[in-house]
Amino acid sequence: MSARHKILLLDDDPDMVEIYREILQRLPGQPDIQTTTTANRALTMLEAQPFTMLVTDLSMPKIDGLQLLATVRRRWPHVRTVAMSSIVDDQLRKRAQAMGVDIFCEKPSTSHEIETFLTYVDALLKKALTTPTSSPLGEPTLAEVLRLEGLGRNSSVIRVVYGEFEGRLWVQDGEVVDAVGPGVAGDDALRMLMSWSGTKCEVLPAEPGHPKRITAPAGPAPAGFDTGLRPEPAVAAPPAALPPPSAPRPPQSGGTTLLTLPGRTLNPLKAAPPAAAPPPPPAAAPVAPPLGVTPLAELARCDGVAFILSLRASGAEPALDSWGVENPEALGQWTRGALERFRRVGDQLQAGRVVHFEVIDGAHRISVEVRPEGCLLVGFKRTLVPEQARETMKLILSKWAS
Amino acid sequence: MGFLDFFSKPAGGTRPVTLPNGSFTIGSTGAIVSSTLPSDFPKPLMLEIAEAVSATFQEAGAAQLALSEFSAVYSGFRITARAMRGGAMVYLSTRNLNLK
Repeated sequence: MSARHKILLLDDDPDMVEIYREILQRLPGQPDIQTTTTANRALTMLEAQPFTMLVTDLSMPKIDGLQLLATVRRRWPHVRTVAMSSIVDDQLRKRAQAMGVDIFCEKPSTSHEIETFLTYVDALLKKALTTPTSSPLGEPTLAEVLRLEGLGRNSSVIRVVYGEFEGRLWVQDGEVVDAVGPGVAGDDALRMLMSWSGTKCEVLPAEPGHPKRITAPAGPAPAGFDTGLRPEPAVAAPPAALPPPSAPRPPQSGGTTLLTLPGRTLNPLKAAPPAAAPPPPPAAAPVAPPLGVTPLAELARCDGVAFILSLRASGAEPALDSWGVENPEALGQWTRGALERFRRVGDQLQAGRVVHFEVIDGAHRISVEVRPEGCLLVGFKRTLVPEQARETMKLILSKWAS
Repeated sequence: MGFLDFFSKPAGGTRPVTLPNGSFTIGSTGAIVSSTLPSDFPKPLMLEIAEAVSATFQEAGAAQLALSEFSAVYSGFRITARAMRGGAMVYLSTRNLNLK
């Protein structure tokens, strides 16, 4: 078997493609680098020939990098994926993480960043020879399992295995009602299980009538959990996963891929599988209700609701929360921009404040309710008649306000 | 009878803009092509609305919205914009307060 890897490089900017092709050509194994500037073309190329790795930009027209990564993960789970973006925000990182991306990083620009980037890509290529990719579909994380259970309002028992430790979660109608971990039960157990990374999950038949011990406090969702993602290994992982900034170190086999560059951090993607005897994480780790019981997920249970985005105007920066939105940051930005523009128009016309915004896009009827405390955007399926949508919106608003 | 002038408003005082009912069309370049709004409705205000409408349609692409229509609903006024071949049709209407 030839050890020469094939890398597919995708960026909508042809100049960037050339730059990164030159960078990747410095890899020790002299991989075969093929390039394209469109996601559609990338999919065609992936179908036509076997690639070891896909290196893609995330912000692209038509099909963006995340959509492409989702497709690649589903259809070619063995392909290693590297996602690059010029702007890395937390939301984007979480979404890339959800796709099971192997490396997620800002586009390297300085020579040191490039060197670090190449070190990690090389290590990932070497790993590709020996270990199969853990696809999020093949081995779903606990958060993903809970998300699916929550969406389907299923009832089940989820067995969670973390090295030599084991825990169980009881799910009823999509909500976690009880959890048991090593030596703990209820909320503490849920906290512990959710902080484990690299777990194996098994969905077992439901146990109706199991007592409810999870109080499901309405606190903030833990990072990565509101979108059904795996918990944040970067926060919980021991410092040993961090390479020293001055001496970049390739990820260990099956380890966390965390890129630290001088002055900034390239975010980790893979949760580190447990070591031989992983200690149970401290019970003080942040926790919040799983997706099945988050406030927006609750609101989304109303008939005909396709997605929800909430912009709370608390603090200097509006807090954004979403459920079912493909690109919440962009949608939030557009909503804020539109409301601000029409607020100015209203001021000039002396027409009062904008109280409501209605939008019709291809498949959805979107209703934006503007309140002093923020605004709530709800996307309804177009099949829902307007009267029904209005009634549902009233119901959702009453719940949201409370 | 001049003493009654004390109670009258000055002739050049500011008056609120009468909220109009009508529509206008924005071309693909952002210019206003046609209008059924009252002639006393200030042109700069019409242009302001047109700019807001155009920008809202243009930026929808970045949010992955295939925007075909939207309405901004104020306490007593409504602006509805419908995309039309690169431009837009904008409807302005005062809202019925339904005081019954």
